[in-house]
Amino acid sequence: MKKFAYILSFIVLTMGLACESYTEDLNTDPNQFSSAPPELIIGQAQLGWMQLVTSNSARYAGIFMNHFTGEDRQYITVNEYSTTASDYDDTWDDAYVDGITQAQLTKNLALDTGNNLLAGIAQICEAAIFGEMAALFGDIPFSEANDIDNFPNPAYDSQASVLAGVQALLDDAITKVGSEPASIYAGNRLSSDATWAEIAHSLKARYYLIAKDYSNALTSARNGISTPEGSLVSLHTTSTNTENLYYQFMVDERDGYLGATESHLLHLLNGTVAREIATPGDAERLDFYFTPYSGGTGHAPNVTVNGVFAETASMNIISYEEVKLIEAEAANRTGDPGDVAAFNEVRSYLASVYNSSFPPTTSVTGSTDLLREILEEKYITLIGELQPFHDIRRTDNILNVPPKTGNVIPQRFIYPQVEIDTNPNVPSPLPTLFDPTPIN
Amino acid sequence: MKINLKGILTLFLALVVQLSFAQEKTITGTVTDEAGLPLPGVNILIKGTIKGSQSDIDGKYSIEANVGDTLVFSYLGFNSQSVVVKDANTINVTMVEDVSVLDEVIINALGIEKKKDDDLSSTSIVKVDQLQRSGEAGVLQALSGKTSGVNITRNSGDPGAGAYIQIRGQNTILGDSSPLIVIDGAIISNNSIGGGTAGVVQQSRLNDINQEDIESISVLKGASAAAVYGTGAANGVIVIKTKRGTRGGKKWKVEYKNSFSFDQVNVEWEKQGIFGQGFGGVDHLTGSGQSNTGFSYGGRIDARSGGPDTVDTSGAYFEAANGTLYYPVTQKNSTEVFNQINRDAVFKTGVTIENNVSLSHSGEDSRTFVSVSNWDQDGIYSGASDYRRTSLRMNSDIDITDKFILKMSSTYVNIESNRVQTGSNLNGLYLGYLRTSPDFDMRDYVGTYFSPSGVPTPNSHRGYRQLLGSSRTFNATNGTFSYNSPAYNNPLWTINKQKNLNEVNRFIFAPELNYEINDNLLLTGRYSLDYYQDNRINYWPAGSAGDGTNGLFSEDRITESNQNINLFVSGSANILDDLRMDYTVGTQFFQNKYKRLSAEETNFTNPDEVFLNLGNATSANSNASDFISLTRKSGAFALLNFDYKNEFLFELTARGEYVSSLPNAGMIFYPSASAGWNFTRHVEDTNVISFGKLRLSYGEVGIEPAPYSTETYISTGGVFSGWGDGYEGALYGNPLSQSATRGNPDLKEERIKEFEIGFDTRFFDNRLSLSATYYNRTSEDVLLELPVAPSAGFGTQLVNAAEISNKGVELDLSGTIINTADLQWNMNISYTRNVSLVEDMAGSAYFALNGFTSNSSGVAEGQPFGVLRGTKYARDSNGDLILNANGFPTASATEDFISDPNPEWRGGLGTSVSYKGFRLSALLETSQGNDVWNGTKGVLYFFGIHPDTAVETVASQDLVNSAGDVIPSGTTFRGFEQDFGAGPVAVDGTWWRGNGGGFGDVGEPFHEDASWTRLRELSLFYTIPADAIAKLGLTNAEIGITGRNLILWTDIEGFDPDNNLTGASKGRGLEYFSNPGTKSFITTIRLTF
Repeated sequence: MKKFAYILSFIVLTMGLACESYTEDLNTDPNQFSSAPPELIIGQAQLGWMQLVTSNSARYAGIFMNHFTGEDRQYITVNEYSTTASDYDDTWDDAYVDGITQAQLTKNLALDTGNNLLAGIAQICEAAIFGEMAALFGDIPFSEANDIDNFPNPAYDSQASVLAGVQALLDDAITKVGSEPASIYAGNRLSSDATWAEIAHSLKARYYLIAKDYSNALTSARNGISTPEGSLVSLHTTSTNTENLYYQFMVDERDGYLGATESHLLHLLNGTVAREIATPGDAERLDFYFTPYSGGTGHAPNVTVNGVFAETASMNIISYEEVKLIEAEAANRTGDPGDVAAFNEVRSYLASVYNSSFPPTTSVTGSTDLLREILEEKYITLIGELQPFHDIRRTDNILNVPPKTGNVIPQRFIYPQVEIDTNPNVPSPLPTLFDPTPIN
Repeated sequence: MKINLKGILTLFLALVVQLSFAQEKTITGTVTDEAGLPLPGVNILIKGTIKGSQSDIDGKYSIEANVGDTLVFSYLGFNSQSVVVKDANTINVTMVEDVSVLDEVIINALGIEKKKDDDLSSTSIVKVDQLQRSGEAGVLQALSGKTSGVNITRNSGDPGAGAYIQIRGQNTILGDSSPLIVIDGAIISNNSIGGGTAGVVQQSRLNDINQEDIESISVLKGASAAAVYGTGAANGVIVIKTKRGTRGGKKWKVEYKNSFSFDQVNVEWEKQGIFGQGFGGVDHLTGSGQSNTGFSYGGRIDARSGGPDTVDTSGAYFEAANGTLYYPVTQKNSTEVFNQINRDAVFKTGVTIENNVSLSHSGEDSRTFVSVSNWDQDGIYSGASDYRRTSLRMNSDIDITDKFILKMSSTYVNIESNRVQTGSNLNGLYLGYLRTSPDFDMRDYVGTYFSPSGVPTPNSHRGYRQLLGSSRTFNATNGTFSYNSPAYNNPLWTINKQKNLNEVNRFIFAPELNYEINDNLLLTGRYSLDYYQDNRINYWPAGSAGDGTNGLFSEDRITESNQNINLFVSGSANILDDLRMDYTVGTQFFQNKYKRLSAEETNFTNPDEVFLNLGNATSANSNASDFISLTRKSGAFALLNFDYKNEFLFELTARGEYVSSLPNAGMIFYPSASAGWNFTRHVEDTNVISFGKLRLSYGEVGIEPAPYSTETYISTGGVFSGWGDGYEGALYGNPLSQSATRGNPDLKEERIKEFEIGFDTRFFDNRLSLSATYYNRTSEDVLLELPVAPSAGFGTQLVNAAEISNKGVELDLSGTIINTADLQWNMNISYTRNVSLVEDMAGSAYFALNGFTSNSSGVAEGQPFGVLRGTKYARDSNGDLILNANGFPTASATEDFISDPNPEWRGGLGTSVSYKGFRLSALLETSQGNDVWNGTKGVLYFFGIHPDTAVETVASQDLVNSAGDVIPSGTTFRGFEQDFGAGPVAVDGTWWRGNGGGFGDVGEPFHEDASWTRLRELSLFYTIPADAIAKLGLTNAEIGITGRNLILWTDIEGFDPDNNLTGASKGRGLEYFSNPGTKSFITTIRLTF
């Protein structure tokens, strides 16, 4: 009997301790992949870019610059220019984790496999996100970004050096993408008839403009998107979470938060505030942009089938109108006589879009009047986009857009709580909403 | 560590196999109790040896012994007896019952019974009658208030609602926070899957177990007691023993129980009934549009002219199911207020019927217990809210030979329920109910909408934000209907038209083999399988709010299985004359398998029929997803108890194991050691102190990370904002994305180290007992999803970085105040204080556990676990409010820690008085110092529904409101004057809709002290005298009534602070339109044949 007990105990113990194999090799996730080719990752980078420029950042900017009105719940406080650091967490996540990280991963994997074209396209996306973040926040991590092994707490590069880096990235991308059309690797996310190189030049123009380098902005704009069909736009369908994000926000998610009651943009279109150039076509544009509330007490951005933010309406990522207006402004500021023609090209294009009258300018080339006309047209035409917000801050609000409250339009977005919590390199003291970014 | 364990194990082996003995003569005899009935299973040991025997079913035993040996007879619940062997070959022994009824028995982690007096940890036992009196639906809830050190909070009063259980403090941020549940040796799941800020109130899987089947529950609070389970036992162990057939006595016994329970909502929100739907003092008129304001800032309802509203019958209208027609209102005339009518339409008295039959049988060589139980609960809403549980149990013990026993424990449970949407959810019951304006009659919630051109929308949903009901248009291009629906559900739509069904099928099968290798060595082999499938269906008809606008159907199929193999040998040995050792050495294999297959369809192809199946949407609107996981553990353990002269007690435990989710951690070793000193014999006056024991223990246990955390993955992409808008990757070419969570190959277990000291004493002839325990537990290497700077390319990384400490005191005092033949009066008091502190967060400022971005419960260094964070009002260095130009406070730019949801202390006071057949018992419970974020209140301010907003004031001087508008002196305005520091201002709707209400940036004013005291139970039972029922063949009959949760004392208004928005989550103290709690009246009949 004791022998039996001995053997038994021995068996019990050896089973327990020798059975490491029972638990081995079970810890690789069956629900996720461990690797993927870069062709499959570029899409996520592009979604991150689309989200950055068409989601909450654009809505906040739209309220800040008086395109829209925050009318319900948390948006009421946004309308009062009261936001907190955590309101910007999403923006950084969209930009860095969903955008830049995936773009750089795509780029690196593509370079490994010799797919220079894909690397260049990823680089355009990367540059655009860095550029937009620098424009919104000022100093941001750039040279040490997305390299956690070496830089767990990335340093903040100066706004000017980031914008310079963006230009370098775009220059390099242009050499990689040749003359390939922008439909390549755009999937069902993005659409444009232009080439990737033209898109890159257009972005160069935008970020030169933001850096106030007007002569380079002019050169780049003239190499950029040259037809309305060349605009790079997001694509949307009626399926859940593929709709236009303004539509998603206003109809599916946060009914009543975002309106346009008594907004400055509304006032410009309905004649409450006079335009620089009297524009009869704004009546049509008003109907396209805004819908009145049934009670007659206000307006909302138009999310109906025929509206600017219809369920399936595309959003501009960078448009023909923007590039032409950059060209007009840069020419105007650098003494180039092309300013009048570029501006009138936009006006006549608008006339064709709205099938109504958008009279050409009567101001002379190089004049401040023309500059105001260009910026006002950009303010109106680029509804729902971030660029007019950059323009207002860059031009020290030359258009005199009235703030929602107080005397100043917010001068930036503020750093997110998530960086404040994790990255000791976040600038100190923290700038407030009304501290201009360095380039402004 | 490896060597250590092996050394200890080798020692055990040596003991196991040691030596034999001389054989002189055979002693036989019978062991009986004082009534002369045979006592089976009595241990007979020759003092100073490990040689022993046991009495058989007839109380007979035999043992080889020498003359002069001392035979020690011991049996749980009886006094030990020593008899010296003389010439006689027959020794009959009558065992005397240990008079101390307090000679309680606990069950250790392995399910082995042990005298409470020998326990060196602070294990509590809860007996069947205590559970049965509670009147609660679930085992978890029934444990509430029964013992110190255990905090149980039910999620809500909804039928089948689960509960949160926390033994001592919280130990882990990301790991499992539920105790390990062991029922008849089977490790079973206590999952509560789901439970965010929206959805339905989830069940806790432990509540699947039929309470009536339970014999006793041991709560192992300390780490030393749990250490034998190692990883997974960090939150304590709950060992449940179910009823079994007993040896001897009556051959069969049938018990029947019936109870009726009547449930009502226990606390309700008050709503203002003065101002109507509208804005700025102007009544809302429906006009031609369909979307109506959510605000109740209209005119005074009593100032209207009376009579029916003036309506426009020329265009669109709504025809209710009962034929009532609703037209757009052009002039509000009606002075009716519908708050009470609406309330009565939503709530009713819920009824639960429980029936329970059990049969136990005691046979020649087998014992069986069979039970059938049905619990049928209809909730407190006038709609579909129910929970039906049917369970079967069969426990059977078979003596295959006199040395070989097979114990079978098996149960099958079926649950069907229909739940109700709750929380931060446009389809949530309370969200729509509480926000509804007082002048809106919600009873006509469904009907037909007719457009101005007469096109009908059937099954139209009418709510206060869409007075003409939902309407639809047909989109010929994509062939679907597009609905325009109310912003919030009418609550009657929520409870009558939406379905949130679940069905659980579960079986637990746990065979155990006991083989007596020799008289003193027992081999136990256990296998257990706990398997369930939880199938959930949500059906939101088209016309519902939010995501249900065009219809939503989702189905979840969750399956989980837990398999456990346990093999151990146990025995005892007398090492020296007075030194006895009990040992257990064993091994365990455990496997958990989980699978969840989910499918969701939106935009119904045919919205006109209730279709509870997939296939009612285009493929683009039909999505499926799947999650599977498999984890395993293998370990060996040893448990060693020493007893020196019944005075000094020592216990050593060791466990070594491999865990599949920690592939690079190697073997993980957990030690524990305990010591106790029973000083009773040194007490001079045993009439005063009848028993005394000091105990001291140290133990380590662990928590494993979620599986698959050691690698960085590529997963399917998509981007969403915190507002809910975003791009669904699957519909955008399904791009892949490097995960935002960075894998960490160096992960190791979270380790809880606990030191515990305490005493157990009894006084005055055992009539008063007092136990106290102080513990100090530290969780080290706590896993933290450390936020990574987004600019570094990841969102988070899992790191063993944090440290949490919990220190606390547990006191239990119980006494028999009166003890006569006719009258007994018992009382017990428990006190628990736990202080948790997050010691280290590795530089991370904050990790949110649950809640919203604005107000959440989370962890931060230097703060108690679960601290509530939000935005405060901005203050200067003197602590004075920084006011804006209008004289109102402003929001601080960053978030702060505002309040603490952990109670400072909890206490329970139970008492029971028995007089002849009557027994009256009560349980009072209190929780003091716990805070809550009352998000509901802030939002009711915002909408002008809270009674605080329904006051009118005449301005004493020219005042400005928060918007800067001037209210001239002498003007009446809706609101009141308040001075924030810059002179009086007008607090009115502009403030409540800004930073003075729930949607502003500031959460501070809505953090409240949620201390409570409640009469948790009050019951009166009567046992009918035996002679009166004997004729009916009954041996026992009892009837009783119980009141559950009858009285609640708290400063909190509107809800029961026992509720938590996010259910059984680690985040606590959150309230946001969560479904209410209940109180109940219960009648019970118990009959025993």
